[in-house]
Formats: sequence, structure tokens, C-alpha cells
Amino acid sequence: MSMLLPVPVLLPLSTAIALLLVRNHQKLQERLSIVSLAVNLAFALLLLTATAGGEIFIHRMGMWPFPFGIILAADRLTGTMVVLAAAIVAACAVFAQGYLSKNQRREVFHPLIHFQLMGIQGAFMTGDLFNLFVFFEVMLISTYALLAFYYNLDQLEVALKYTFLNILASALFLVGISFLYSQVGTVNMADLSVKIREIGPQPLMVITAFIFLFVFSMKAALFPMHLWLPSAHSISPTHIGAVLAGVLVKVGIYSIIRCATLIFIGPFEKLQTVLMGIALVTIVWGALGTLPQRSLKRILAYSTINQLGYIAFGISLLSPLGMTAAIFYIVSHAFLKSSMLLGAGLNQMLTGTVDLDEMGGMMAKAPYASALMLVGFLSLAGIPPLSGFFAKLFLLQAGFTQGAYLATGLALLMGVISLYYNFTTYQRMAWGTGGNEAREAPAIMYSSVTFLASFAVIFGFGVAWLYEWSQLVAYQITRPELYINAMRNAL
Amino acid sequence: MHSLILRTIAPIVLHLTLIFSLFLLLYGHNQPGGGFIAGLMTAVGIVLQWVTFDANDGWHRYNWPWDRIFCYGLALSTCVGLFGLLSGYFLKSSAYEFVIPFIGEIEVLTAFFFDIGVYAVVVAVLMSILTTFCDRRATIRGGPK
Repeated sequence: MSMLLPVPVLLPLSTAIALLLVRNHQKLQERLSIVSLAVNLAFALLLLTATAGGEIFIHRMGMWPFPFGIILAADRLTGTMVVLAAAIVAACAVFAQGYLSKNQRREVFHPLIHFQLMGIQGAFMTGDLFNLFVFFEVMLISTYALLAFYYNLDQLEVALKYTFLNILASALFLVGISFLYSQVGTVNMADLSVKIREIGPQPLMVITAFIFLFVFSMKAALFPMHLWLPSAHSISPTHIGAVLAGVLVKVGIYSIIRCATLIFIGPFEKLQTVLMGIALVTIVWGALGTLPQRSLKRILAYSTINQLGYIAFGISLLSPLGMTAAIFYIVSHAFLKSSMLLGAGLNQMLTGTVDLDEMGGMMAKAPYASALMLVGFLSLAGIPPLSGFFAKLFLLQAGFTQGAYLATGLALLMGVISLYYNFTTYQRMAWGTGGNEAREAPAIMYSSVTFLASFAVIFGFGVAWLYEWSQLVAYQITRPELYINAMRNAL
Repeated sequence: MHSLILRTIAPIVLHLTLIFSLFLLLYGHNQPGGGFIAGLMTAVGIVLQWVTFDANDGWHRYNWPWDRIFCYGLALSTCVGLFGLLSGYFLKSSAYEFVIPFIGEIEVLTAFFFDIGVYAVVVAVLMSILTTFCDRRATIRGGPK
């Protein structure tokens, strides 16, 4: 397995190159792209089953010894995240087959999404902080292009906003890495963990940790840096917005988890209040932000911010229980939100609008599409037995167990607002009369939305299974010595 | 650009930059240098030439199939990485020694071919960005609305 670890990086890369070379043969290019995504998903599942036993796989690229070389590592968390990315990107690419009409620059879309996938999966696999930066850039550069996909002025504005903010964040990331390197002289995550523990949480190290927290919360759209997200979600093409909401923000969350549990364990304990504060403000901001919106996609975007706040809150508890809840939340939210954004795209295709008032009466006009959205809204609102309910339940449980009563109480209160906005949104969209006539949409779009939405039900009824898995992941990541020893003893 | 100084200097500088970038490319894998910096240097040489002699309307003279070159460069680098995977490690570099008559013994690293791929990618990306910016047809077509 160790030898096969580069596959999640290499397969999208070589596919992207092949797709660029055959870009004049559209049929061939599309088939190749979909087949490669399927193989990638299969490999991700293989990786998940391989990591399930608790072994941590290490691949030393170029055979350079620890801690100098670039290392790929896969533990249970990596396995989980790679499966999420592979499944959601595959579903979105299939959706795009129906969503993009014949001459809408498909030949650019497919290579770009593979480069993006390479960056995402590479970020999950790498065991080296500088390489995390490199994969972030690979992912971001293709995202810049994808965001401005139709070339129109709105999208260019969004893409520019996203680009500027991320260039700022990338520069800070680099500053943070050089800060860190000047203090400890290494960028390998396991090595960093050991050396930072030796130094202890001095003020300078806490500041460095804060820089990283800031950079990653930019990617994860946490409070002060969440401003790019609503317009990016609502204006970019649906399938790209869905990858953004489902996977890209999770890369930021994943990096925060790695910082909190592996790299900056001591400094993050000092920063706990800050992280929790950020999480709570994000929860409140996201929940209140949904209220004045008219556009379905914007509501979903603010709800994403809200949910990311919950995930960050779980991480900020810095305990196995909190991590378990956060991981459960990540998995459930990734499938849920991407299915809902694709569902919004489907409804947009059917009615030609994302404005809730113009949409009206979807239940009568397109019962199946509206039922898919209903599953999503019920799960987001936290109605049992869907996965969203359990995600919130475990999080609140973890918060109350640890005695963070005030913060958890606030999170619970915002859950009431989320109940309100989810119901009213669905009501405005599905009930009532008027609105545009419904058109036809290709079956392929329904199937990819159904695929993603079904996980809300699967994880709802199979909650014991996913909870047990989250516990296993949390068990492994809250014991950094496992990761460090695996890297040290790698052959 | 009608500058006599530039017109006199540019051809000389072009040769110097090209030779120096070639030197960096060949020298790079174990010493400072490498495909990336060599690619930048080559592109700078070409751009200087372009600014000097074809600043007004000559962009199409530099409009080579950069996107193809980019793909092939990337493919070459990836293949070298995959070649390393044969010995168990991705991107593992291996050295081969050859004896060439009259020149003597030379050592070829697979990392060198990786560098060539990087070189091609860097030159092609820079040049395709510049030619795209200069392509005034995009604005004539209407551009973004």
C-alpha cells in the first residue's frame, strides 16, 4: 500500500495531462475524465479500507530520509478525507455533464477539475508543511480559473475577490512557514510536532500558530475571512460551487485539525479561546446571514458558513470527544451541502432562476427534485433520523460534557435559527403557486444529486457505524505519537 | 520600441541569456539552478527580443503552440516521476553513466529529464500568458460583458 500512496496525486495529474492532449476530441475527453474519476474513487475506498486497521502508511518521495524528504502519509483521517473528495468531485463532474450545454467550454472544465482534485488530495496526503502550501496553490490556481468559468463580469468579480484574498493568505502561509523554519529548522509535520513540544508554547510560537490558524480559516471560511464564500457559491457554476462547499472548505478544516492535533499541540491549547470565539461568531454570523436572502444558493452559502462554525467549534474543544463530533460533522456536512448545492443547480435548470419567490411551487412542478431538497433541508435543520441531527447532537454532547455550557448553549440557540431558515426556505421554494414553469433536466443530474443526498439518509440510519468510525479517527489523531513513530520508522 | 541602444544590445543579451539558461538547466539537479530558473531566464530573453523588435504588432510571431509544449513538458516530468516508482519510490532519481568517445565519461541523472520537463512547462506557461495578453482579437471579439 505504501508504494501506491502517490496514486491520489498522480492519477488526477496524469489524467489532466491526457485530457489536455485530447481536448479536441470532446467525447473521448469526457469518457476519460469520468473513468479516471471512478478509478480514483475506487482507489480512495481501497485506501480507506487499508487505513481502517490503524496502520499509518508512509511514502518517502525520491527515497529521501526522514525528516528531509517530502513525505506522503495516510492515516484514517486522510483516508476519510480522500474518499470524501473523490466521491464529491466525481458526482459534481457527472452533474456537469448534464449542466453544461455542448459548447460551454467543457474541454477546459475537465482538465481543470482534475488539477483541482490533485491539489485537494495532495493536501490531504502530504506529511510536510511546505508541501501542503504547494498543494494548496495547485488547488487554488485551478479554482481561480473554475470560478470565472463563463467569463462574465459577475464571475470575474468573484474570482478576483477570491484570488486576492487567497494570494494574501498564501503570502501569510509562506511567512508562517519561514517563521517556523527559523525557529525549529524543519517543515516535516512529525518532526515539527516533536520539536515544538520540546520548545514549549512560547509567545513567538503561539503567534506562529495563530498565523497558520488565520491562513487556514481563510480557506475554511471562518469568521473574519468568510466574506468570499457567499458570492463564490452563488455566482460560480453550480458544480464548482458544490466542490467548493463540499470539499475545498474542508481542506482548510483538515489543516486546522492537523495543526491542533499534531503540529501545534501546545500553542493551540493557548489559542483555544480564540478558536472557540471564531467558531461561535461564525455560527452566529452564518445563521443570521441567511435571514435576509432571496437567492437559494446564497442561503445555502450562509448555511455553509454556519455549519463550518459548528465544525470549528468541535475542533476547538481539543478533546477526543470534540474531534469525534467534528469528524462526524465534516463527513455528514460534505455530502449534505454538495448534494444541496447540486440540487439548487437542478432547480435552477428546471425553473431558470435561484430566486426563491420566482421559484415557488416546486413541489407540484418537480416533485422529485423538490423531495431531494427536502431531505437536505430536514437534515440541515437537524431533524432525526437524518445525519444532520446526529452531527449536531454529538457536538452539543461533547460541548456539555466538557463544561463549555455558555458556548454550547449559544450553538444550540443558533440551531433554532437554522431550523427556522431551513423550513422557511423550503416553504418559499416548494409551496405556494406562481413562479416560472418547470422545464426538463437530464436524468444524469438527478442521479448525481440522489447519490449525494442518499448519504444523509444512510448516515442517519447507519449513525452507529459512522460514529464508531469517527471515534476511530479521533482516537488516532489525538495520539500524535502514532503518526510520529510511523514517520520515523518508515522505510 | 525604437531605441537604438536596446536594438544593439538585445541580440547580444539574447544569446547570453540563452546560453546561461542552458548552463543552469544542465548544471541544476545537484547544484544551484534547475529547470525552473532556466525556464524563467529563457522566457526573459525571448521577452526582451519581443519588446525590442516586435512591440507593436508582432505578438503572433511568438504565438507558438505553447499549450502543447506545456502538456508535453508536464507529461515528461510525470513520466520521470513514474519511472522512479519502478524502484519503489515516486520521483526517485537514478544515475546512469555512459562513456562517449572523445568526450569521456558522463553521468546522466533521470532528474535531468525531470528538469527539462519543468523547463518546458515554465517557458510555455509564461509565453502563453504573455501571448494571450497581447492577443487583441479577444478585445475585438467583445470580451467579457
